[in-house]
Amino acid sequence: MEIEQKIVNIKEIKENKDNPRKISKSQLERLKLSLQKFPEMLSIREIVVDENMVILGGNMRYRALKELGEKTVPVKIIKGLSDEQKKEFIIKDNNIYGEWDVDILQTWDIDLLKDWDIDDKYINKINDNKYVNINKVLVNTYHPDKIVNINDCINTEKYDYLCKKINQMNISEDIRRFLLLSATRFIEFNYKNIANYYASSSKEVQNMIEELLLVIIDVNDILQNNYLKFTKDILKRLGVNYE
Amino acid sequence: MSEQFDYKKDFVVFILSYGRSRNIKTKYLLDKNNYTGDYYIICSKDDKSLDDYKKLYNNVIIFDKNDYIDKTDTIDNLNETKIVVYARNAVYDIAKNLNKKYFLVLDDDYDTLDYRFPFKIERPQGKKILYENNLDYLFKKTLEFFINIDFDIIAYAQRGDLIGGKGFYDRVYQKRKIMNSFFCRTDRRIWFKGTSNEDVNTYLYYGQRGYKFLTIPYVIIKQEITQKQSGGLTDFYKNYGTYVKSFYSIIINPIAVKLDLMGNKYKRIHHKINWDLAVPYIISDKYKK
Repeated sequence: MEIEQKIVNIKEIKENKDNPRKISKSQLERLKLSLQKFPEMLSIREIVVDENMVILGGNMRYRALKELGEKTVPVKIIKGLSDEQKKEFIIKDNNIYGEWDVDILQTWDIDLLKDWDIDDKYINKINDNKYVNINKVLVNTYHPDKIVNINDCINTEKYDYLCKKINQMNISEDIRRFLLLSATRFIEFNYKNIANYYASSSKEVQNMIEELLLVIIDVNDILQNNYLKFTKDILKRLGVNYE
Repeated sequence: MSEQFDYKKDFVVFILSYGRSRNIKTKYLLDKNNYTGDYYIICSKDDKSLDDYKKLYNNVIIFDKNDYIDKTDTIDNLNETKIVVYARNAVYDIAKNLNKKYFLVLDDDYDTLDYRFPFKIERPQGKKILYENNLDYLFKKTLEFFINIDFDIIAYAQRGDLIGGKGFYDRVYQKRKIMNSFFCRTDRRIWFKGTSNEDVNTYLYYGQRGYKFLTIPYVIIKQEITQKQSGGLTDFYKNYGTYVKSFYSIIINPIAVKLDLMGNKYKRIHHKINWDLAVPYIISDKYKK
């Protein structure tokens, strides 16, 4: 048996007239939509044809692509199969062994699953499933995720402008001092950036950032753990199972 | 391990009420759900319906606003007295006098408590509401959480908090509000600020300075729509308009708070907080060197 992969003109391949699989008009429309949304799928899983360019696997995708007006299509050409082997392939290619694991699926985005046309019976099972994966939604301390420059932690534009104005005034020094201190109210601290900066700082700088209360450290993950415990207590009271 | 507490001995609920002696919905909420702990209705000396309160209830505590006028920063010079901020500050002393370590402060117009999660859950038969017949369970668990995490004040969510989706649930490290229901510690006094918007002003003022507040998003407290009832803060809104309250929070934090338009059909002016500029983030200690 020889296998060859290439991109061919869609007119070169032929639908298998003896294909026992059927597709309804609405299913075909959904397949067309699915192919439009994720065209890369075709390159990952090509249409399988024999040496005569007759389709062994992918008849429905071929029809959908033809209706979509596609000119070329990636194919896998299989040479040397007997007629019986070709029939066996057609059947086995379309058999679905196994079931989807609903406990895992429910941690995925249900809207995307619907969008990807997973069988409705699984969507119903997900909705019916009493198990709730709460760990996934209960991350309640911030996890720094980017490198930040110290200048991104503070914005003194307005403060500088006000100071300049105050310094140009003909006033006593005690009033100037008061006004200059008042202008500090317009210094902008970006606490998100500070949290990110903290993560990559030296130990000495980290200690001072903590002392200045520019971040709050969840020591031993006390907040995180208790938040989870509280939520579990409430769910337990409600009779909801959770993971 | 955190400090031990005796629920009955150490905890009390306060209902702040003004001019609504015959319409204290929160009292009904506690009674019908078999809350068994102590609770008191907190009234101020200047309330004209004080006699009615005393006649109707045997658990009324009266405080004098004059004791708090000089101590409270109202952020204006309106000398308005029909405001709730004095009561919010008085309850710390009332709790101390009652020898209570922790207290929950509620307004008087709460209809229901409910819960909501960011994932679908099935409500088992007979447990349609979280606290049904056992508000004590909810309060005990909330107190346990509050004491263990060692925060200054925590609160339940209000209905509007959940508009905008899941973000509110998983961003406790960032959005640290306290509104409508306040679990407080007697030994950690917080001075509420402002003639209006005192809750927002307070969490912004103290939050920026590293005080720790948070809202539990799962438990929702529901009240009648503000400004439709008589009594309470209604008179203030009638006199000054609801939009004025946003300015108090801008004065408290002119960097993080801006004016914004809220609502879909009928726009109204409201405050909008940029949380990245408002309070320090809470981060896991695994990032500490």
